[in-house]
Amino acid sequence: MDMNRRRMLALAVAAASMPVIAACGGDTRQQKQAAAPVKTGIQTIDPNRPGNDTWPFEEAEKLYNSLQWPKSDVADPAAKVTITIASTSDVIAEVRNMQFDYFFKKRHPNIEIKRETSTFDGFLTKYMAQAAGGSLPDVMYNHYSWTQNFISNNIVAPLEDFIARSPDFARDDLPKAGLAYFERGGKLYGLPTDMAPKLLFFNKDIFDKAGLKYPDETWTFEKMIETAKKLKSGSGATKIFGFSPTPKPAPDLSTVFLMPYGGRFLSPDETQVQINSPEAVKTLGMWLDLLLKDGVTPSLAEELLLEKVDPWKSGHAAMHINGAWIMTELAKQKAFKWGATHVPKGPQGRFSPAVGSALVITEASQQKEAAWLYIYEYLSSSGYQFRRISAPARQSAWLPNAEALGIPAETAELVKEILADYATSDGVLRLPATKKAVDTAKPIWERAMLGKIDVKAALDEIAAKVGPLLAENKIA
Amino acid sequence: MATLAQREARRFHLFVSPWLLGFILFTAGPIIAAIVISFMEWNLLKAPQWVGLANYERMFGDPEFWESIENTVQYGVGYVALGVTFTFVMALLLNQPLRFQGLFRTVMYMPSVVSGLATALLWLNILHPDYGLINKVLATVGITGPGWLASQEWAIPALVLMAVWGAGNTIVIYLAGLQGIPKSLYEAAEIDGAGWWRRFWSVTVPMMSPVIFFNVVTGFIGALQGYVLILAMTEGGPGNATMVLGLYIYRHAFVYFDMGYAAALSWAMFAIIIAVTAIQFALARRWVHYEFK
Repeated sequence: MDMNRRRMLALAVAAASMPVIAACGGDTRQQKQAAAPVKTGIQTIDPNRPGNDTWPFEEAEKLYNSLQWPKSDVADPAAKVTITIASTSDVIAEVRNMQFDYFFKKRHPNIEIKRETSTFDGFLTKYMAQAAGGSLPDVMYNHYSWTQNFISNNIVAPLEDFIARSPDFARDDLPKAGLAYFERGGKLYGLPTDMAPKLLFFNKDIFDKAGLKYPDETWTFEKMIETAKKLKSGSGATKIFGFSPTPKPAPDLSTVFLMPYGGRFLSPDETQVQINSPEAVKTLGMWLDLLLKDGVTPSLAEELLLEKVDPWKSGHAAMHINGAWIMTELAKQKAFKWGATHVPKGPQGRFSPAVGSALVITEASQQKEAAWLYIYEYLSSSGYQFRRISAPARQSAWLPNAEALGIPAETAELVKEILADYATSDGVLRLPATKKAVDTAKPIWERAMLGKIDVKAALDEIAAKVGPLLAENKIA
Repeated sequence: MATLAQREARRFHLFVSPWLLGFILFTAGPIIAAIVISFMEWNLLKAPQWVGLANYERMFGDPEFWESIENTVQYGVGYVALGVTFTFVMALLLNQPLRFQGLFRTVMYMPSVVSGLATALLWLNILHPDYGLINKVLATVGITGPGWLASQEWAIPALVLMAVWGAGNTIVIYLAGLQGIPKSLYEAAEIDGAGWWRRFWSVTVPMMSPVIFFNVVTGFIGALQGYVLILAMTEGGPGNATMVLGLYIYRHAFVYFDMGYAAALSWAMFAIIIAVTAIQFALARRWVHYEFK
């Protein structure tokens, strides 16, 4: 190609400008801690006095000193040790973690902390590869659906011995239902980092405009569906969905949508498919009608874009079932007024999944005692209050955190009530075949959502294809 | 004392050794490892177990594998057919002596340097059935656009359209080829009374046939292996309509950590690519014109 200097320059300028343009749509990369001041997105963080506008150092120091930190008989290491902590995080939360680590090191001068942060999407791949290479960190984040697989492959260490030597552990402060994901054979293998039930959220503005009463604890799913039909309005960019999203095969499909009607995706031991039982067919048929006949929930096409711009978050959905962890974001937004109540009940009762993640100590760790001291304090009631997260697993941290985050006290009380009364891990898939089962069922269900296959045929096909995959769930 | 030839040979080996080492460690090694792993069951957490041909037997009986092959072929054929034609036409236009020729060339190349995920987000919006640019434009002339990525029938064509948009590299290769055609050939054809179509068909196309062949071969290989943008945009949906073989391998390797099966699938992909490329080379004898043999 005949390219003179001017053309070359034009091409070079264009090429040089593209990364800037592309960066506008790029993802937020995690910044690693370093000895020298590091940039976390916007501000420079001084490792000797970590803080930024969101988390000022003075506030952190004051709060840290005001909290009671739990005591343990597990001894501090006699000489300097370094523990590696692998977690999923975002840039903002990472500053708070840096502050926690800073104060923790003051209390435990012989424990150095090396923190590795990864995005949730890439976390499992990264650490599975490290497991294969025999180089796992001392402490590792675990999603609730991973731990049972790790336990059966002897990757994670039981915590009972450490718990017994830590009198302030306060096991009763953790919701029993939420611990089941991390337990096997009466032993606990992970300490939850967060734990929350699902709630029915509603957009008060949409209800007020339609002149309808807000949902309350008396509501059944039928009542919710009838109301959703009345609240649907508009089209295209101005469309208001009565409910979002359309239920689909997911790890907690049973607990939220099927168990109230006596149905299940898989059997309680996750070795048999039950999604084509008459109860499940009837329930999911009701939702499919709501989508295909009434257009009350987002279609597959609408979800394509809306997945990136959630209709609930953008004020285009009247009702939404999600985990209590979304309250932090809701409390901050001013676009619409919102409320939350119990998930609706069905003929068989009301169910809400208690789900969360955990930190585990790896079996390969050479510094298990130091690792315990870290997770014990980080995931204590004081640790949760220091980190100000919206869905603390420690029940004693719910109210102080809700107050600090601007979450209405009555909603925080509601969450505590649900966790104490009926939140459950029953029906929430957690065994090794979970991802395969969900991925196998999803395309079949999508064909049903497109109206290409009826609900019974879809659920029969799911049962036929998912069934053989469940052999993997027969783990020791 | 070493002779000059010996010294040269030593230097040759010294300079080539970093590449050789890299090739052995990071390319040949993993390829050989993948062959061995394909005969094993390995979830990364336990020691691999020898299972013989079980992964290959499973593959031949796996309907989703065949479905992914069908989707991959559809995508590959669509991408190569549309991509090769469109980019060739664009290169012909950009080769015309027009004002702002450099600007046009730069603009056509720009999509190639946009990051993949930015491209995915852009096209998710362009192809959206309700709010997308394409369907909005179609609506102005009374046509109801399809569901594109939300439709089982239109999802692959939509992905092809997006892939062709980013094919600036192919245009650059065509442009280089077009500028390498001797002007004397066109002058001779003109003296013989050839019109523009005859000059195009009897001079440009034969002279460009090696470049077209190169783009067809590399385009097919790229299309058969591609999955990243599909993963970002549709995750293989709706209803597995865009589950291409690359994505199917990725899912088994890095979502289910079923490394043995993923390795067997990778070898199937390798076999398909070799077979398609061999057929292309066999057919090339009939239509590719090399000026110097």
